Amino acid sequence: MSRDPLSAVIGLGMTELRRDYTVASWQLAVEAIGLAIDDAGLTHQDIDGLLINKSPIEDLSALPMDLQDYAGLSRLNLLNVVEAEGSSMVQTLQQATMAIKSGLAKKIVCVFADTPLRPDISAAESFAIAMPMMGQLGIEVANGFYSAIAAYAMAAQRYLAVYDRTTDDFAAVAIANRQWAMLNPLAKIRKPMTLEDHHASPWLVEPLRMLDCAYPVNGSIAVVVSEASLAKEHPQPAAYIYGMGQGHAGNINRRGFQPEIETGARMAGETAYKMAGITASDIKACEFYDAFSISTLVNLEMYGFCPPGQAAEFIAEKGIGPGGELPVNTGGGHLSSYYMQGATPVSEAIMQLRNRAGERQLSQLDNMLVTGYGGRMQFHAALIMGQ
Amino acid sequence: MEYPKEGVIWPVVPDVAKPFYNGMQQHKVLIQQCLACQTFQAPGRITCDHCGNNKLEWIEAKGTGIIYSYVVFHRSFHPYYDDKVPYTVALVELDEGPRVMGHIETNSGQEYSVGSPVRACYKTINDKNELLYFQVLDGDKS
Repeated sequence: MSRDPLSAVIGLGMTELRRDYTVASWQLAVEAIGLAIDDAGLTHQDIDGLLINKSPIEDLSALPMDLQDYAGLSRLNLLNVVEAEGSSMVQTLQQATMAIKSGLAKKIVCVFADTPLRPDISAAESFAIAMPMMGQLGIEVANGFYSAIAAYAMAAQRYLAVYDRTTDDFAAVAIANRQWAMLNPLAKIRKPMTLEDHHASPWLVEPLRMLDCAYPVNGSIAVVVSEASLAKEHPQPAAYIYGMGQGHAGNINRRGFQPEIETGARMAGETAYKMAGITASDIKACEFYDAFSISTLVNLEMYGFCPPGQAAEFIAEKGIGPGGELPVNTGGGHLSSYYMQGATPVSEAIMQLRNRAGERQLSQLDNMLVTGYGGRMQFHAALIMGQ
Repeated sequence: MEYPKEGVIWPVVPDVAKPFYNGMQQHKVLIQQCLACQTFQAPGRITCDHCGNNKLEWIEAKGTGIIYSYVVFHRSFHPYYDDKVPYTVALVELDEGPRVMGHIETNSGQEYSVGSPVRACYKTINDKNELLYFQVLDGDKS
């Protein structure tokens, strides 16, 4: 396939990903930024853009515009805190690409950091916010409708009912993720998982069990995005961006609409595929944002790999785990590797595209789908990346 | 976000949603209807999500509908709910079309699922606020 990439990721920096609190998010971010710049063979003076992905559960002060100064970046032609909830990290790479193509900046750092595990509160408490299902009405609060898990459980129950499926569909996703995690030294949960383990996992918000939920960590991940034509001058193999798209289909709470299971990912995928000159059948692997098992099923359907309601059959027939026809979340995903929000799929894609993924390395990665979503699967952003 | 440790947390009600809360005090489910295209809207909007018109009228819904989806909390995320799990919260699709959220309650032995018919009921919260919930009705799923 002969085509010109839009941009290239030339640097990746990851702090240690920990289950305990050490330092604040901004300090982790500074460390990851430095590691990414080193990895790209650059110095701080070479960086002319910084796009910040603050965690939605942290205050703006956790990763403010001043991160520029904390990180020692004083020659920026582009600086922004990108707020698009869970789709933010993919959107930072999209904004960086647009800035490069328009000539606004040339070497842009995109960074995410989060510290949900604190000395005084657990990760569960950090994420136990009332999810806005009802817009301005705010009635979730009075109903005790707390935690992101609840919003995804609502989607999960709708999915099971509409398509007449069972929670074993969720198990199929969680087990595939775990099989990948067993091959990934960075993954946090690496012991084998069986269907029986999934059945025995406690309900948190039914129909979602503990094993259906992301595994939170503290840490930071940064990348450097550059002009594609200059990418070969850097020490690491480049991970190229060939297409991108977004889809925000709105949250229409009335008959005729099912925003929980028919998402804007369809629009994001269509735009990204068209830009890259491909279709879903050209995708060799997917790195999805998958904070809950249900979302991988919906993503497989909305990104065009199978019809709605048939994701589990697709998984059974084609395989998304190691050796499968469509490898998905090849580092273990959010469920078994590490929940660094949108930076998890981005980091795994870069490791794969560099051929640095060790035992889990894929081959022939000319088109990878890398996605993020935010809110209750409302806000979608996608990248087509390749070697 | 910091929540109070005791009692049901009552939201700070924005002006656009006040008619709905006032309706609950009078045991009415209020929704909105677009004056231009007549589409019924889930409450708390200032524009129609079908045609974009900004003239919406508050009307009283019949108060019956079906379970669109529901979840069962087996874990408490707030001290008030520590001794109340498991509890069920649903999105109910009213007969008029819009969906609203409320707890699901049953008489003993009643079963329910997505599609089960329900009726609006009210309980007094924190000794002063009336909160909408839904009682499962006997009869076939619609």
